[in-house]
Amino acid sequence: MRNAKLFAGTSHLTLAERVAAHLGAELAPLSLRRYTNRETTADLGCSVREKDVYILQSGSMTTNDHLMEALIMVSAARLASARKITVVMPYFPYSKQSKKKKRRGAISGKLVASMLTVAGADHVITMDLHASQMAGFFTIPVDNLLSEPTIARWLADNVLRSGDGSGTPGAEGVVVVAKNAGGAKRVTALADRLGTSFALIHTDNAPSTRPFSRTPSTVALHTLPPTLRGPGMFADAVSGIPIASPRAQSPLCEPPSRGSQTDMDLQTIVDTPAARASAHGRARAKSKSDRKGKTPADALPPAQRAAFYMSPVMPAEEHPPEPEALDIDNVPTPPAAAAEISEMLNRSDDDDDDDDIDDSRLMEMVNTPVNEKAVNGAPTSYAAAAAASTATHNSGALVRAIASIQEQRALAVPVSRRSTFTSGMQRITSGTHLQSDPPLQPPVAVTSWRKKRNARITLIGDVRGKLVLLLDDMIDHPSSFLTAAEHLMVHCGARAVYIVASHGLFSGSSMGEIEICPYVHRVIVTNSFPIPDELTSASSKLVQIDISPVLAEAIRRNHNGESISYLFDRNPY
Amino acid sequence: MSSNSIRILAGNSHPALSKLIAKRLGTELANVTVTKYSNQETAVTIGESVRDEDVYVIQSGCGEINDHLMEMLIMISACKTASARRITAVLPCFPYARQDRKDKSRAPISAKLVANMLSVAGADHVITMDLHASQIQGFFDCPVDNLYGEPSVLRYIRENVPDWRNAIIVSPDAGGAKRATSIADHLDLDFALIHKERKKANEVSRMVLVGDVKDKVAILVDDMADTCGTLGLAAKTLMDNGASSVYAIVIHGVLSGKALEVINNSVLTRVVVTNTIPHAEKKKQCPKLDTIDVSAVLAEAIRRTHNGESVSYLFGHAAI
Repeated sequence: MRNAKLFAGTSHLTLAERVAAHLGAELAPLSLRRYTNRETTADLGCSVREKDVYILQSGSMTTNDHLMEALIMVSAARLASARKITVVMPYFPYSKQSKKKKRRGAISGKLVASMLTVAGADHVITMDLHASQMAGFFTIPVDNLLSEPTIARWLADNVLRSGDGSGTPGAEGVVVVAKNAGGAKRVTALADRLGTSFALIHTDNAPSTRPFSRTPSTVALHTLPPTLRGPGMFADAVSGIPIASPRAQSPLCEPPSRGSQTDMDLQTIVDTPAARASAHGRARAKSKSDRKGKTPADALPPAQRAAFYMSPVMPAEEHPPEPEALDIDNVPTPPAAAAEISEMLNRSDDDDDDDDIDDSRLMEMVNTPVNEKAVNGAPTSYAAAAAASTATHNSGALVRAIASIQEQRALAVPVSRRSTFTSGMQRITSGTHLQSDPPLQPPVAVTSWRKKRNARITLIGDVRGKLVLLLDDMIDHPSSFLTAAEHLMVHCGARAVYIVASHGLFSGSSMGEIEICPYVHRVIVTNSFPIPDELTSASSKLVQIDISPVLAEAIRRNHNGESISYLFDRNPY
Repeated sequence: MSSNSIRILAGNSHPALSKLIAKRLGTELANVTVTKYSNQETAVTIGESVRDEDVYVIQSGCGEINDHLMEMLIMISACKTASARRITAVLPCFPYARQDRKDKSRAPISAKLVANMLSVAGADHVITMDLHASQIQGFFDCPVDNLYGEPSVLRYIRENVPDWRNAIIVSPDAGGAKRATSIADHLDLDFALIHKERKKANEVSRMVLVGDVKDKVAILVDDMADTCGTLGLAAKTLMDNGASSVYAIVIHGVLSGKALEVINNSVLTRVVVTNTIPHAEKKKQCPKLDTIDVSAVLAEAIRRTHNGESVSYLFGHAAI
């Protein structure tokens, strides 16, 4: 390309090199360094005066560093009299924070957009924005490329392909499924393109979001003896026993039952048909959970119980847990336990309704010291290993974790219960408000437990005997995918489940969880987001589709002043 | 914000709603005269002092939408130059909200343009309701309170739909699935989805129902109904699939073009809209129309904003 310079940030060099190769260009020389205080500095190694500058930088696991790096590169190019600066961000960082989540949320996506503009970018090229409305956050032109044509073609060539007697399912044997209502549109688009049918999974988790569940919680707190507000209490609430069965003896169990007491009080206050209906629904769920009886963990003291639920490798129902089966040595004392728990729970995502996704990431930052300790302590349990890798993205630890999981696979459980428990607990920790907003603490745990007990997963549509493509725009913590996959395979008779996503983030132990989940057969993502080599080679299920041709073609067309829209429904090659 | 008082300025788009809001706040609408020059330029005179006052300008996006938008911008600008302390634009129905992204090549993001225009005119704060996409909040640099009609809708269903416990909530398109599931969750009802393959704008071709509506009261839920082609066809699809009756509840009832005719001739039992857009005249022509009054929600949001109280309470509760 004449009069153009292509610079690559450090987030995703492999992709940048591929893009450069497609363009027949070389990456321009650039020196990115860090001062000792970790400030980034960029030094463009060639003249960019009156040149078109393209800066490639994807979001990554060290988002803030790489974002800063991109901004500094843009600024450097601007000061060096570049004619036009285009930022190419295949995965746009902070794109999940594109709206105010109900109350007092920040729209950080807009902030990033403003920062890029202020730094001096003239144009942005990105791909599969979480919400296409984000293009409106900018005052400069944005090209939101689509990976869908590329993914669709790959699926058509490698999954659907039929009529050649190879046993491939063809369009009739495939169904595209959304794991939540928010993804319905994306799913129908791909289904229409592939000529397949589609379905939708709906998880009814209303009780905890109902307005009146909050008020009694606060009431309950003020009636708590102060000693019950500590981490021990928290750990106990995690296991949710008090709600599941009223037979609990420990004084620790009292507050949650008070919680239900106030719930009853409330029913009389809010005596609308709806309140009655929901009370009825809760009672139903409660009696159901009572029938289910004790979980094996009930027999354990609180701290161990917490560890029990943390561990994804749960003993099967027929074998009551031997204390030896748990890694008791690694079970921390109660105060540490609280920290560790919140860490662990981050593994699950709960973005069913987009509302609480980012809390988990926040928790990771808060808890970093704990994890470093775990790394140094050569973790032997999956829990510790996963905790370590969650925060530090230490793929070595993860590989070890996967190995240890595979060893213990004999013990591995019907994931059903595991996933229910982990997701049940997620809500509890998703809360920075847990820490910043103590009044809600124990009761929140209570509601969330009930919530997941009460949660109904419903499949709308038919997947029987079909290969399911479970589609979303990105996959990070996979628990909602895994829960959905399990439901599809176990209850709905799906033949196989492939997870399909544009951006594969796979933070922490995500890849390990997918690897051991028997209900997921493949994970298909693009290479828009950097995934460490250790992870890709450790996973037998991961397929990465190369989207560098789309990016390269978009850059080329941009540079030559040609239309980009061609790329929206066709492949560049 | 203690010494200054509320001034409510109403545009011409929806005087009835403005009056309801003012009445609820126990105040009068400020004296504003809007005239048009012979060349159709809009001119605004603010008839009383707004210096150092907390001004709320109410204008909905409906009818002569561009005239009303211009009118609002001029009113905001007039208040700004008249030294109002704070100006809040209250847009029950945000104009151009459907043009919120580049859905086609070279499509303009007009919602962003409107957001910029409001900011430039001098709005310090925006109150609106059920934005087509909540990302529009990010188009502004000033705070935006996006209120929800959902609590009011829930209350309407509980109080006015006979046999609502045997109902199923249906989203007439994939994009609205989230809204519908939220309502279904709150009422503890089932949920179904209609997928339409749209060939041209405002023209629907094939409809596929996903979910089981047999012998149930189907309640279609959407954020906006314009020509009602979708609603009519969706209702037919639902009846063909065995629904016992079909209701439609929409937040913003634009009801333009042949909408009333379509509703009258459809199998819909009732079409319920909120009064973010005036439809008193339309009700006379179409007996199936019913109204949910949301003036209380808007008034309460204004009151809370003025007093510096939290608005988030209104996201989960219907103001009574």
